[in-house]
Amino acid sequence: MSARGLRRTLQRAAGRHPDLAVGAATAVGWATRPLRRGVGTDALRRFLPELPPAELRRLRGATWSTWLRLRAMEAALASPTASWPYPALALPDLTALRPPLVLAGFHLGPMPAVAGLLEQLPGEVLVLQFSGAPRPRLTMLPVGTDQWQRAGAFRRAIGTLRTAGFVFVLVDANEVPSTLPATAFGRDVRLARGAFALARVTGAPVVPIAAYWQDGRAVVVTGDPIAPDDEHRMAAATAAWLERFIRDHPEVIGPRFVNAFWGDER
Amino acid sequence: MADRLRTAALVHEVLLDRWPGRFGAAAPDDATSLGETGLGLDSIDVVEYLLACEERFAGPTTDALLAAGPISFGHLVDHFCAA
Repeated sequence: MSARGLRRTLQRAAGRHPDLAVGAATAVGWATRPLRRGVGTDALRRFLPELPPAELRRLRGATWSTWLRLRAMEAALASPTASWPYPALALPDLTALRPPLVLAGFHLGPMPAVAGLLEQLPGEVLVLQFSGAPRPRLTMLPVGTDQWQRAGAFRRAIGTLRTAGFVFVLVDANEVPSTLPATAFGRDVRLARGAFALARVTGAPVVPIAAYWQDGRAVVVTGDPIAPDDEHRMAAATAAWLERFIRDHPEVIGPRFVNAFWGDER
Repeated sequence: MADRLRTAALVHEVLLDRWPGRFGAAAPDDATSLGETGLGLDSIDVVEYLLACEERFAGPTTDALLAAGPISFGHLVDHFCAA
């Protein structure tokens, strides 16, 4: 069976048995490592140039496994019959997440696991998104590509924060027109401005959030709250947290993140 | 008419106060879009401008104006003039 066929089979099974699908994806990822799939070593070297070639190749295989498990999770989330489509999750202390908060996410690792956390937060949780399946506890608001749609989404997010809610927004989205410069991995990068503008306007802190795999569980982690401040300083603090997270868990790098972070430079 | 002129002057004043030095002293004409094709405000700037106007005029909310689509300087003046 081809890699594509395997992936489709996993996706079909995922809606009913998310844990099994993720486990199968892990096994398939391991078995197909010799195919040299996953994020290319050239792209990985841009993040971690100090790694020797053998370690880069091992990391490439790990990103392939992460990618397959991500697809299994996405298939489970897209299933209309799955009331709780998440595999085993390890979540941080939710009582530490007091609204209003801007939760700043990234296209990294098992990112749907973050939705598993969001669904358990008290109060309104607004998810500004470009795509994705709806979830019952979350208000999914398409950002849109038109300036006025984006403005409407931003206005709505301000309202959520002003009524003590949570807003989740991706910050490694280079397709947005309004970005802020920051530094990560010794390079100039740009982060989407929305999260930081929301924090400045509403006075809500920014909390970086991401997830990685550990022993078959998706572990969701959050950074310390970044106090509302100058947008550039908040972006710099977020980029620094992101770099630390990736250095700790480099297998979370996937093609979407590479594209979102470095643009066309792969 | 005098009311509209006064409102237009105040709406313009909010713009100048919000972004000192970014715009000329002359008020935009009514047809000028607030957005990228007119004043050059991005989506975040537009919302901040609307909120600043709401605060300056002590309401009304501009949510409906924003939901209706592209907003020109004239739309904004009319919105607060009618309040």
